[in-house]
Amino acid sequence: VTGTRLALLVAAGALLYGGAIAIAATSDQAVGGAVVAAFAAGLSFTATGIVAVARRPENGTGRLMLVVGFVWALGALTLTSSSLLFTVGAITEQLAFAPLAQLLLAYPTGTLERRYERRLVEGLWAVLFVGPLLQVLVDPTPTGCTTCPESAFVVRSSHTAAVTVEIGYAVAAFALVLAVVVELVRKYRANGPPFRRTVSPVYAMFGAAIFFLLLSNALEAVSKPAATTFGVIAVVFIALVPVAFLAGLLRSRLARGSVLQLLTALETGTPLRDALSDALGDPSLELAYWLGEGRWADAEGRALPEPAAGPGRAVTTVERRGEPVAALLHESSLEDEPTLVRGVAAAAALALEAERSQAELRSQYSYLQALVDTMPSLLVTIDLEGGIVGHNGAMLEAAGYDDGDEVVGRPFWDVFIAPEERDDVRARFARDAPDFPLAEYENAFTNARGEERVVFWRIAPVHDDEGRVVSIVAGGIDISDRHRLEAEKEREREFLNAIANRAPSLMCLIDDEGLVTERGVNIAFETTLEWDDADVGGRVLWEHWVDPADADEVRERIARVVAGETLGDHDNLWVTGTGKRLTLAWTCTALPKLDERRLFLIAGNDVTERRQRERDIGEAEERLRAVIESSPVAIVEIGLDGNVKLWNPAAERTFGFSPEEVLGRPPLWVPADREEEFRELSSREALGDGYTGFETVRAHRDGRPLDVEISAAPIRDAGGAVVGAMAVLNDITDRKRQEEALRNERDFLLTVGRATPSLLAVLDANGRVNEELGVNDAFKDLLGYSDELAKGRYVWDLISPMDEAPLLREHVLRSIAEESLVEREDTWVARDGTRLAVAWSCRHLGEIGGAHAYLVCGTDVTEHRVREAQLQRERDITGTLMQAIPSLVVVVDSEAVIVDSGIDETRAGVNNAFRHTLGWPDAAVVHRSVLDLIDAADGDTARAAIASAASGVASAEQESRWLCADGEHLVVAWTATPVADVTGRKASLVLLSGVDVTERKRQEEEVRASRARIVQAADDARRLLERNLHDGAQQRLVALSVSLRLAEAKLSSDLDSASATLSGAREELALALEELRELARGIHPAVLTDRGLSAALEALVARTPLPIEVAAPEQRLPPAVEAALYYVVAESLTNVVKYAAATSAHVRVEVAGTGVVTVEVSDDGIGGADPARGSGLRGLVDRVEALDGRLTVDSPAGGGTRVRAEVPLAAFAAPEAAVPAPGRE
Amino acid sequence: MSRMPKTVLIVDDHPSFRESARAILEADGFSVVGEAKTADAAIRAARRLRPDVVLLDVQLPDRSGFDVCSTLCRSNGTSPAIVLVSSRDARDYGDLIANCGARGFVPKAELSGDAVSTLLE
Repeated sequence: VTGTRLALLVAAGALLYGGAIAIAATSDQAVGGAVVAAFAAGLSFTATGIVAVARRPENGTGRLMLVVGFVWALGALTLTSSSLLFTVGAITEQLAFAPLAQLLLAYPTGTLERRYERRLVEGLWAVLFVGPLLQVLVDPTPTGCTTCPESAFVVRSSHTAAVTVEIGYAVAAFALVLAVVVELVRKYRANGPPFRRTVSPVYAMFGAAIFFLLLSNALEAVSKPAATTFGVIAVVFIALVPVAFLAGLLRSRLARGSVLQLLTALETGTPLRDALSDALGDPSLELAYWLGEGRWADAEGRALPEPAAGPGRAVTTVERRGEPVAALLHESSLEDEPTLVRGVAAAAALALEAERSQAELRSQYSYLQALVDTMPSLLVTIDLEGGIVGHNGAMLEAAGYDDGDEVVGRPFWDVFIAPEERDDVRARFARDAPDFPLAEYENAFTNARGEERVVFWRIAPVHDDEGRVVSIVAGGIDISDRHRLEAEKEREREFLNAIANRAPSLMCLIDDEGLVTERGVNIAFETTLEWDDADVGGRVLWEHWVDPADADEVRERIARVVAGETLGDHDNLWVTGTGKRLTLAWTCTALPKLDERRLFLIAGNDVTERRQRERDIGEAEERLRAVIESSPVAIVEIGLDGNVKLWNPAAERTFGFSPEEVLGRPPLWVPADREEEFRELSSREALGDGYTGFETVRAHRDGRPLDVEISAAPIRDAGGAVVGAMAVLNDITDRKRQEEALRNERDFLLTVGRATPSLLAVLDANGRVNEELGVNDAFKDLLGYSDELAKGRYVWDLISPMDEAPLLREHVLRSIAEESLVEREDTWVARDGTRLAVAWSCRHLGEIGGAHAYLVCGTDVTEHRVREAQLQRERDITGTLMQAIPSLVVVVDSEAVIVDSGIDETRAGVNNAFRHTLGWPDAAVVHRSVLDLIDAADGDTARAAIASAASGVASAEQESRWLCADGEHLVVAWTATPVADVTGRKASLVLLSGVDVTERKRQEEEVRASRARIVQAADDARRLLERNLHDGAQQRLVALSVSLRLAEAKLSSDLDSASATLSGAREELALALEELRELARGIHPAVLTDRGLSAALEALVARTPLPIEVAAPEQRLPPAVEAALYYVVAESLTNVVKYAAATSAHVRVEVAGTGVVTVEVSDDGIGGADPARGSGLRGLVDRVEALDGRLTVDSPAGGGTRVRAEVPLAAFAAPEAAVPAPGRE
Repeated sequence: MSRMPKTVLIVDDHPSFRESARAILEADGFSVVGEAKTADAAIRAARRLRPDVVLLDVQLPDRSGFDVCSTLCRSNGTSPAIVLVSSRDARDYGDLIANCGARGFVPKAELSGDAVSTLLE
C-alpha cells in the first residue's frame, strides 16, 4: 500500500468527517450526544480502517472498515436544512450497517467464505437502501424528526403508506439482522477456540451494540431521553467494534518476536496450534502434518490434501533433519516476515515432530478403523463373559442392526446364535474358558431383520503382555450367499437332471478322453443301450457302446469336438449291453467348463428303425425302378393329362421311340384306326379300372403295326385319387408268329419222329398208347408192335417182362402225375421175346386234341451195355491185377500227384503192395506228390522220369529210396510208364511200378563185405606167413650164412674159434629147421587161430614132458600178438626142457588195463641162460620187438630162468573196422 | 694195413643180424662205430658219428631204408657211403636201389667185408 493511497484515504476521511462536523455545527437541529457518538463511531471505523489497510493490506477487513466509516459519514446529511441533502442523508443514514454486517461475517479473514453469507450481505445492502428510499417517497418525515426539512422526494404523502413501509422495512431489516446473528453464532460454534478468542471481543462489542440499540428502540415510545441514552451507548459500542477488530487483527504484531513466549506457552501446555497462532499472530493458522509419501494429516490424523498456497494464504514447510515435518498454512501477510515464521517454526519443530508422530499414529489408527469398518469380513471382540465389546460394520450388517450400541454389551449368542442352539454355544464357551483355543465353526441363524444368515467363524484369543487371555476376537465370513448359490446350483442341477432324464434322446457326459463321468448318463441312455447306470462311470464311450467297426470314427469325431470343432449329427452303429446293434444319430457338444473339468455332451437318438425304413423305401424304389428298367416288356405311364410320364427301355426297344420323343407328349404309338379304342381305354383307367391281357394293335416308329397285349392299372395318390395309369404293353407279334411256326414245326416233328431211330410212343394220361399218334417206325421195327397193335394198350403191358410190368407202370404213371421227366434204363421185351436194354424217358408232351399227351422215348442200348460190361470187366481185371501184383504201383498225374479215382480202393492211385510195403494209408498219399515219398537225393531223377512218362516216353528203371510211413526208407527199383486215364478225364497219367529191392541190396552188400573180409583174411594170413618166414627161419638162415662165412674166414687162422662158430651154426640150423617144420606143419597150430592163445598154450603144455602150470585169460588178442606170444612160450619151454633141468614151470599171461599184454615163463631150473648166446632167444626178441614189445631174460645161476615179454596192444586197430556194417534185416 | 680202418654204422631192426654183421665186418677190418634199430635213430647216429659207411637195412620198422638213404644223401657236407642190405633179393626192389643214392646193395646172406669194400671202390 503506497503512502499516496494512504494519504488519499486519510484525506478522504478527513474531508468527509470534516464536512460532517461542519454540517453538525451549522445545523438548525439540536445536535445531541447521539450525534457525537455517531461521529466518533464513524471516525473510529475510518481511522482503524486506514491503519488496517496500511498494516494488513491483503486482508479485506481494513477496506470494509473504511467503507463502513465512509458510508457512516453520509448520515450527517440529515442534519442539513437542505431538503434534498436531508433526503439523501435519510436514505443513506442506515446504509453503513450493510458493510458492517459484511465486516462481521468476513472477520477475521476479510473474505466471505460462504455463498449464503454473500447473499445475506447483498440482501442487507438492498433492504437498507430500498427501505429508506420507499420511506422518503411516502413519508415527509422519514426520520421522525419534526424539526428537520421534509423529504424532497415525496411523491404522495400518506401516513398509511408510511406506516406500511416502515413496518415492512423493519421486518425485513430485522429478519436479515437476525440471520446475520444466527450465522455468526453458527460460525462461532463451528470454529475452535483460537477463532473464538479472536472474534469474541468483536462479537461482544457488536452484541452489546445490538443489545443497546434494541433497548433504545424499545424505550423510544416510553421515554425519549432513555431511548436516546441507550442509543448513544449502542453507538459507543459500535464505535468500539473497529477497535476490537483492529486489536484482533494486529494481535500478532503485538506478540511479534516473542518466540520465548511461544516456548513458554508450549511449556505451559498450550495447544501447539494455538501457541503458534499466538506467536505468529495469525488466528487463521492451520497445521498439516507430513506422514510421508505425499500424505498429510491434521493433528487428529485425518487426511488432508497437500497444503497449497491460495488467495491470501501461504504455506511454510517446517523441516527437521532434512525431512518435512509439518506445513503451516497461514495468512500470506506473514510472508513479509520470514524471520518470524522461521524462528517460530524452528522453535516449534520439536513439538511439531511430536505432534506429527501422534498424527501419524492417529492416522494409522483411523486407517485401521476404517479398514475394520469397511472390510467385508465380520469382526467382533468378545470379553471373557461372552459379551460383545467391539464390532465392525460388516458384523452389524450381518447381525441385522444399524447401531453398534444395540449389540455392545450383549452376549454374542443373543446376537448370532439361533435360540435353540444358544445353550450349546454357551456351554461350549464355558468349556473353552479360560484359554479359548483357536476354533472354527459354521453357524446358521436368523438375524434381527429376520434374514437367514450362514457365517463361517474363526475364533482366536487376545493375550495381554503376561499371556493372559483378555478378550476373544471372532472373524467371520458371511457365506449365506454362497450357501444360497450352492443350493440354487443344486436345484438347477436337479432340474437339469430331471430334464435330461425325461428327454427321449440318450445323453451322456464324457470328459476330453472319452471317459463317461460318474452317473453321467440319462435314463434314455440306460434303456436304449440296455446298460445299468451303476457301472458306466470311467468307461470309454467308444469301447463299450460303439460297434468296433465304428469306434475309430466315433473317437475321431469326439477328438475333433474336443479340439474345438463344431460337428453336426452323424450316424454310427452302437452296441447295447446285450450286444444289439443300433444306429444312432448322435452329436458331441462341448459344455462350459465345470469345476475346471472340460465335459462334453453326447446326445443321440436311436434311428435304427428310421434308417432301416429309409433304406427299405429306398430299396423298394430302387427295386421298382430296376424292375421297370429291366423289364423285357414295355412299361408306360400316362398321366391324367394324357401325356407320357414314363417310358422304359423295353418300350423304346419295342416301339422305336426314344424317351425324348415321347415324354411329356400324348402317345405317338396309337394308330389312327385305334384312337377311339384308346380313348375308351383311357377313360376306363381314369375311372380307376384296370384291365389285363387286352390284345390290340399299336404302331412302331417306322409305321409297322405291332400286335400287343396291354395290361393297365390306375395309379393313385396317397388320398386314393387316380393320378394316372401305368400300362404294360407286351409285343406279341413274335408270339403270334411263333404260334404259327409251332404249328408248322409240329408237323415237321411228327415226320421226324416217324423216321428217328429212337423208340417213340405217345401215351394218354392213363399210360395207354395214344390212339391218334401211336408209336413210330423204330418202335415197330425193334419191338415188333405196329401202330395197330400198340394203340390203346398200356405201354407196360407191351414191353415189360411179366415181373417188371408194375415197376414200369409206376414210373410212367409218376411221370404223368407229376408232369415230370423220368429217365431210366430198363429191360424191354420185344414181341418175339428178344430182350433189349432200353434207356428211356417219359415227359409231358403237350395237349393233343384237348387231352394231355406224354411221350415215351427210348433208345436201344443193348449193344452199348454189352460193350460197357466188357469194358467194366476189363477194368475190374486191370484193377484186381494192379492190386494183386506184388510190385508197388502208383498212378500219378503229369504233376506227379497221386490220383484218386474216387470209386473204391481198387481204383485208388496206389495198390496193395504199395500200401503194405510202404505202410501209407491212402488218405495220407492220395492227392499228394509222389516226389514227397522219394528221398530228396533221388528227387531230380524221379521228377525227370515222371516228366518223361507224362510226355509219352517210358522211363528206364531206376532205384530210389522211398519213404515209409514209419520213417524208414526202402530202396525201390521202379519205372514210369505213360498210361491212358481210364476215366478219360485227364489227358495223361503216369504209372509208376516198382519193386522193393532193399533186401537184395542188403544181401549184395553183405556178400561184398564178406568177400572183402575173406580177401583181408587171406592177405593177413599171407602177411603173417611172410613175417613168420622173414622174422623166423629166414633170419636164422641169414645168421647161419654169416656164421658159416665167419667160420670159413677163421679156418686158416683160428681153428678153435672157427669150430665154436660152426657149432653155433649147427644149432642155428637146427632151430631154423624146426621153425620150417613148424611152418610146414601149419605154422600156427589150428587151435591158436580158432580158439586163441589160452587154448593153444594148454595144448602146447600138454605136449611138454614137464608139469607146467598155465594161467591165461580166455580173451582174444590180435593174431600177430597171439602168434608172437605163442612162440615166446613155445621157445622158452623148449629151452626149459633142453637146458634148465627144471622140475616144473609156470606160464602166466596177463592183459593189463594199460593196454599191454605180458607173458612170463619161469622155471625152477639151474638158470644161467645167456640171451646173447642162444640164437633161439634172439629170434624171440626179433618177434617181440617187431610188435614194439620188449623181451627180458632173468636167469641167475642156480636161480631159475624167467623170460618175460611185454607187447603193447595200442598199435593194433580193431580189424572189424574194415567190414561194412550189416544192412537192414 | 697202413690205412685207417673204415668206420661203419649198422642199421637193422634184427639184433641177430646186427651181431652177425658186426662180427663179420670187424673180422674183415672195418671198425663198427655204432648200431641203430630204426630209421630215425639211424639218421641221428649218422649225423653224430659221421661214419664212412652206413650198412642200411631196407626194411625198418618206422620207415623204409630208401627214405633214410635219401635223407642222408641230401644232408649238407660229406655224406657217408650207404650200402643197402636186405634178406630179400635186389630184384624185389626194382630201380629203387639205383635211384636212392646208395653205393649198392648186398644181400644179407652174402654180407662180407669184401662185398662192402667192392662197392666202396
